[in-house]
Amino acid sequence: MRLERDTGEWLKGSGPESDIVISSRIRLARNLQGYAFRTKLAPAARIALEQKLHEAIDAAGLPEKVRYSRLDEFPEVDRQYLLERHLISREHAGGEGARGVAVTASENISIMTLEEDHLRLQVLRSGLDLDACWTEIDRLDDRLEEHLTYAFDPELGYLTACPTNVGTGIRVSVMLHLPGLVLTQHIERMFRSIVRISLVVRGLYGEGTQASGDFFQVSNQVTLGQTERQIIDEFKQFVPRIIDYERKVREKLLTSDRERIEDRVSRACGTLRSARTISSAEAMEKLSLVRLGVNMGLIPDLEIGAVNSIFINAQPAHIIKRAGRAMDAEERDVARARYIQEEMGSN
Amino acid sequence: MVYCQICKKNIATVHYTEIDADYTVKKETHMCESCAQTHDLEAAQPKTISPFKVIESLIKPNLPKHLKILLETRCEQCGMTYPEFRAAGRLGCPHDYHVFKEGIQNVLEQVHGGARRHLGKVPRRAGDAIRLETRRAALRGELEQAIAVEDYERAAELRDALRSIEEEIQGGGTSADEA
Repeated sequence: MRLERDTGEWLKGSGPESDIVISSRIRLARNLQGYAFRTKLAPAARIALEQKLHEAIDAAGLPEKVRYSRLDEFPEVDRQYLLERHLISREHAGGEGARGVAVTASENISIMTLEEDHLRLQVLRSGLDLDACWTEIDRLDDRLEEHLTYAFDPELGYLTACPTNVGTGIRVSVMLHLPGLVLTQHIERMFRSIVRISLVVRGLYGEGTQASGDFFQVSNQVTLGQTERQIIDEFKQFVPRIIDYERKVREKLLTSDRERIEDRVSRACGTLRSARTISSAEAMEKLSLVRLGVNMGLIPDLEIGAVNSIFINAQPAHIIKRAGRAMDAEERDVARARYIQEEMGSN
Repeated sequence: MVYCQICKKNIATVHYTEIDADYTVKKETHMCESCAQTHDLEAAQPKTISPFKVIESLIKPNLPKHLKILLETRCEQCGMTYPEFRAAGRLGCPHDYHVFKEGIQNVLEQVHGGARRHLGKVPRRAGDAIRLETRRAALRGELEQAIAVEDYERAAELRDALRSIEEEIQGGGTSADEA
């Protein structure tokens, strides 16, 4: 798989509230009637179903050019690369057997075949834009349904391999950058209020990953007994409150603790611009502070889209793809430091 | 007191019971400590013992009848059993929702806050009748909620929407997308 020169549309930092909300994402889980769920599919049936799903995606006529890839024919680094770009799940990257992913040119849409469910549709958008995600994914789902018969029960809704997804099969999530709340130790309190309204906090790469650093993914848990609209509306009520909270904390940091925050941001910038070797974890931590600095107007010569892009491109599989050869961790750390300086300039 | 069935001399302190798949006792062997060590128990054992079988055999005699039935049920379409589902957390096929209904209800209530009915999108292929029925149930829920928070403006809108859905249902579900 070729290294994309650019990151997906959704990382451009052009959407509403994109200083704090990195992206909005909606995914739908769908399965076909008359077929076992993935774990009970015999290998031959699985291969046939993968083909059928692939054909349906081709026939559905997506709004943009689509590339479909068979993941079981991909080397690990390419699967990791897709995971780092948020186009496939961790489970899909690490799984076995016939399975694939369709990705549109803008990377706004991806469709996983034979992940936990037969189909996992995903739409991503920059910033807080769940309405756009829903409009797009609803249409995509309709188009696919013209070619496939979904497993559906009038009482239980869309039937999914895991009962935690049954009903709408929807997972709405927003990826948030909340360094202010972390820095001022307000984050715990914010999370407690999330749990009260039945939303959950996950890591950067979705289910099964830990929230780390300053990035958090907030998602719905309930998929049955609510309409898709109601679930989205819950986010529309709640996310602006998180945004407000983060903004207020940032303002307060600028007025009452300006030196300390400027110091942290410029030290992070300094490290990134002068390090000869840097691990993925350290780069993420420093980039988070740089991102905060850009949004607070403390680093005038960098744009948010560029910082978002470095986040993606500084990850291990991206570094390897860029070099075009296998690298161990130490070599990657050197290449990462060099790449970051190409983008941010060096001291 | 039971004597060792192997050496027939010592008192049996090891009691080995083979249990069939249907939980009936197949064979009992009583042995003394030293005979038990040399006696090839391995050969008599199935290659792997599922921990679920062990747990089942322990709790099964005390289970209410409907749960016993659930534990013995196997989906005729995909071969999934209920203990297998509980272990993996994933179902084998859409039909399992029906086969293990009683067991899944629990999970659904825990995860989805007691909700029992789908209120969201309905695939076109499911037909107008189901679509309208689902919409009606959703509107009813929303109406109740609007009244609960005293949002009467919204409640009035919802009441009108509900009326029009009900008229459509009574009219036999003729709608624009059927034309």
